[in-house]
Amino acid sequence: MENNSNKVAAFFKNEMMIFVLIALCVVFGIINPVFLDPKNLLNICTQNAYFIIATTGIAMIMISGGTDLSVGNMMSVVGIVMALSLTVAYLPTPVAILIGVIVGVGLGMFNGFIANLFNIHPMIVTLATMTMFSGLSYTLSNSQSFFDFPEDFIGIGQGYVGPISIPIILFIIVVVIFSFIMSKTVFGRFIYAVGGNPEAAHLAGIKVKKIKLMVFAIAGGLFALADIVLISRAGSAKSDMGVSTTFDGITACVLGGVSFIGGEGKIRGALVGCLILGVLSNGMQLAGMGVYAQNIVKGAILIASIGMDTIQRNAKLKVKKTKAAAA
Amino acid sequence: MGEVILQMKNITKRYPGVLALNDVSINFRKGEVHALLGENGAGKSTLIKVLSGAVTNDEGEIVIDGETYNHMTPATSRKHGVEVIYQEYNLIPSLSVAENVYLGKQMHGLIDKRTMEKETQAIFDRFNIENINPKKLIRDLSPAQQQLVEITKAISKNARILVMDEPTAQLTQSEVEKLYEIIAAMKAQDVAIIYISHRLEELFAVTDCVSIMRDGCYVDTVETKETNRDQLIALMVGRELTNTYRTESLATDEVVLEAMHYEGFRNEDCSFKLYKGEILGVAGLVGAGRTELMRLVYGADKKLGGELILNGQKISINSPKDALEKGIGLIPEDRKVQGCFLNNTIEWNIAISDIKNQTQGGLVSEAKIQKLAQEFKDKLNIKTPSLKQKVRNLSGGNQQKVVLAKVLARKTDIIIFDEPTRGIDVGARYEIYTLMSELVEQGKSIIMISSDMEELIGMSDRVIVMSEGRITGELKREEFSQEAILSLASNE
Repeated sequence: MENNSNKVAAFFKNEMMIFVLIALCVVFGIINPVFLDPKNLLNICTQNAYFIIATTGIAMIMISGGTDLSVGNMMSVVGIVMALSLTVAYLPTPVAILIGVIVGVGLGMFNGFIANLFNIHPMIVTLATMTMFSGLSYTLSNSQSFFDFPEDFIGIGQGYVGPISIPIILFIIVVVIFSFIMSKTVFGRFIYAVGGNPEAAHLAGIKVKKIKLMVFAIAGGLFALADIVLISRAGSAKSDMGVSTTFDGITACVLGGVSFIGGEGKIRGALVGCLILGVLSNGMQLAGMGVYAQNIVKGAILIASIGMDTIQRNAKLKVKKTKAAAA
Repeated sequence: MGEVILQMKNITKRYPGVLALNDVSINFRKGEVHALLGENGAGKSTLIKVLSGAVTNDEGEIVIDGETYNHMTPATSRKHGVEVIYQEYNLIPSLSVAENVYLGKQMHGLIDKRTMEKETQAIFDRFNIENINPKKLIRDLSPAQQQLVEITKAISKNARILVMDEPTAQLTQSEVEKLYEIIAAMKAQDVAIIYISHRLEELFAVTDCVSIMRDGCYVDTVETKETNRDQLIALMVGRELTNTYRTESLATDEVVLEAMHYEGFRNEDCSFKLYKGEILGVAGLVGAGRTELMRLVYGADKKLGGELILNGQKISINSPKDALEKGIGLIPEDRKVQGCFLNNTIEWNIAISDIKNQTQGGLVSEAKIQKLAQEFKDKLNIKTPSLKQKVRNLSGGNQQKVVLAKVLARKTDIIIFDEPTRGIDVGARYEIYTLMSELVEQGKSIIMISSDMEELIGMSDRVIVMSEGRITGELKREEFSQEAILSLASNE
């Protein structure tokens, strides 16, 4: 009996954010029925595809015990490099994409390499590289915007297969592959081990620095892919595009139960976190709220979700106490 | 014997599914050192928490200075001069000694550093504590000095009932002597001292009486003078434990491992041999460089020089990964920091070192992991309702068994145990000794770093002694004695 009710409680606790997501959808649906139109729901997914892909990378880094504050600026560099390749050097789309991914992986490895070299927390390293990447991006773009991408590049962000957009297909593939890597492979387990207790991982024969470097490299690749989706959908690139991904991504991860200390969390959770943020923006817009008001609500939701966890735990303790007293 | 200052009467505390304290009644007297003895999970800590007000008892009452309370709060507890020194230090590393001593004290207006330092020094003087400058930062002190600061902090609050939880876990022999002096001085000032320790020899050295607890129940209180080791263990465990120390050596003359001229930041020119089927004890004072040497051998830290010969072949080990692949395992000293993944499940922990073999078609196999974990749960008698339990929720002894299982899962021929039984109750301790005996029977070889003299002498076939980063001597079984080991360890 006790065991069963515990299981139900655990299920609700673990999957609570899914219920929050559903509840938000219901509320916004009541406020404005347009929200629940399948077209609108698909639109939310398409708009947030790049964000989900990037957040998958952020979640991996956080699970490995790191934090990356340079994500958005890294994406901005990748975007500008690809835009230059396409519109200035007139390189073919596959080549430009390859260059973009190489830049993303390279910058990610740079973050990981510096963190390993000086043995400092990635948060400090990326605090520095965030500024560096920002400078690099504006230097490369000369603060200009870039347009007139070739058709095949634009097709990535704006194309459809039936009613489903290509960005949606891409993010689903990414989430499925990375959920699989994190939960089913030895590499995934090592990432959790390194994030959970680096010293114990080291003594258990895991090459901690190698794992960290790989995580940063792979995440860099994901950030590049995210930026490809972002600028191809927008049809333009500018140095300030995608910069907000850093903190939105961390917010989504925390909402989805990815621990800031490392070693805990799931890609699936990060996905739910992203969708909650996406639904909030869209729903509030349809409800007629401005961007700034939306930010207030987003922050409040984050505090509420973290606070809820603590309140739940305390409530449980109280119940136990009263039960014990009654008995 | 002084008058009764504290009565814990019929204390009962329930947690869901567990009766942590079951109708426990104990009296404590002024000027008495009263030991609480029991295995992990016997309820000692819960009883102390009830006393300090950290936990609320469900039934029973506490009579302190003649005043009766249904339960304590941290404030009433402090009002009556109850001070608890926990195992985990509650000092703030970035503040000075004096600031820590005065932390939490009622002070008004500005903080007068000089007075704080002067008064701290006065307490040090009163108890003959030397070599600690009140101006020094806590993080620059040794663990032993920190322990002394903790005690000073309690004294400065005019503690009348002082609880010490495993106070000697971090101390060297001479520091333990110092602690005994301090305890004697406090006793003379009529302080009631509640002393918790797993080391039985300490109880005989310092306590007046011993109250034994088992499974949340009070068992008995005996005068220390009138009892002996075997009686205490029998009361604590509830059954007679046959002596599991080893009587015959299984060591062969085949050298399996030879370390030559190892150099590291803390070690100079260390050479030793390990024979097949042997338990090699490594003795020395805290800070002698024993753990550091074994970490070099295991590849956990970078060595600055030295060669390793394994089964007659020169090998190089540059990481724990290499060591494990060549058949050397290490069970680290600090299980929480170095051994376990506290937030992961038991089965996850057990499988992580050997995860590459726990796969099916290249993917991690939950079925295989469960089988492996179940095997070790049975073999090591890990007490848990489920293998999906988080390691954080286990008792110290069971956590240590999970760490053992994690390393044993790799089936290495050489296993380094670093303080395998520190902070573990008697029952689990004997189980670990039995396991070590079984391992050498299987032809494996063991290196055992230990600060516990009885354990060293009882378990080892041979002991090497270290001091200040060097190996200062080697003793064969027939040469074993506490004096011989200590004199080599202090390098006199």
